[in-house]
Amino acid sequence: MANNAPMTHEDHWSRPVAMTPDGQWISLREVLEGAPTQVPFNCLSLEKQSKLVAERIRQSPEFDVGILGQRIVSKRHAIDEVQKRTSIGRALIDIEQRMIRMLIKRAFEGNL
Amino acid sequence: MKILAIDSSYDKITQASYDYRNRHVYPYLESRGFEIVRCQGKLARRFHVKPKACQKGIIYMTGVGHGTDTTYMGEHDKPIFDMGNYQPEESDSKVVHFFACQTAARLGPDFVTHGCLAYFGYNEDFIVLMRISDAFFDCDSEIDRAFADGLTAEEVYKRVIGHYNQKIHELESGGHYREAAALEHNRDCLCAPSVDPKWGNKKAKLF
Repeated sequence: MANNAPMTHEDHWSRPVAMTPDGQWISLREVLEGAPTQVPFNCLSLEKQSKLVAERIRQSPEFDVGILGQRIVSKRHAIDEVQKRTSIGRALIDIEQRMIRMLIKRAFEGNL
Repeated sequence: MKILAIDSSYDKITQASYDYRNRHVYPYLESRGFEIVRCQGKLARRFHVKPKACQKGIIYMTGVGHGTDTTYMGEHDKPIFDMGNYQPEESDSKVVHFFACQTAARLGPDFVTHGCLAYFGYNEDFIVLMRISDAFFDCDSEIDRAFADGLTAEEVYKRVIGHYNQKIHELESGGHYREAAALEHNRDCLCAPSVDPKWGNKKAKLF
């Protein structure tokens, strides 16, 4: 079923998962190291959530997403949908939020 | 007992799902004693589907295609079932499962008001990460397998959610975090009579 290798750990550690109050990215590594002033994803404004997800997708080494309503979505198209918060964009934001929650939990458990 | 299979196969995602369903789903349904009436590929058009949906003996309709909240589409995005543009006998006394985006939002409840016994589908966009697309198709098609095993809509929903949860756990354990998160999203968009009666009767079953 899952026949491809997972992304490298470094990729997860360096990509943004939160923001500072003035809008700077905070990586998973920085969250784990206790970055002093962090705004978690679920406390960000909708606009900042979109911005963060667009950046995470931009930094993804590969992005091959199919949608039963839109066919295959390229990275550029996905970023556009996220920034416009269309139904596809909102679905991609939801997925990224779930993934961030998963990564932070596993990182704190020492299981990433 | 007849099943009407309505599957598009004209772009990368519908082709992949169509292949999966022909390899893993329909053989299983046939092994359980069902006759499959096929409107697939170029036959996945309203012209061909409408008379077959009205045939005697069709108790279940299933398939993959693109969708919107009001419309299940066939080959090349041509509407097959569009709210306000189908006959009640097409949905009457049938269980329906469409593997498509959004159709559970409005088309599914509309089917139920026109006699559909139970509707399974998604009320938001169904996301597939193509590098392991079979895992996504597998979770959805558990609906077909469970109905073919004679379960009620309520039992089908429980089994499908359990199947999703198992795959999510496997993917997360294997380091496929985005894939696990996408499956979680899809699982939570699945609509069925167990979620709300507007999607039909929890006790509905094929036999």
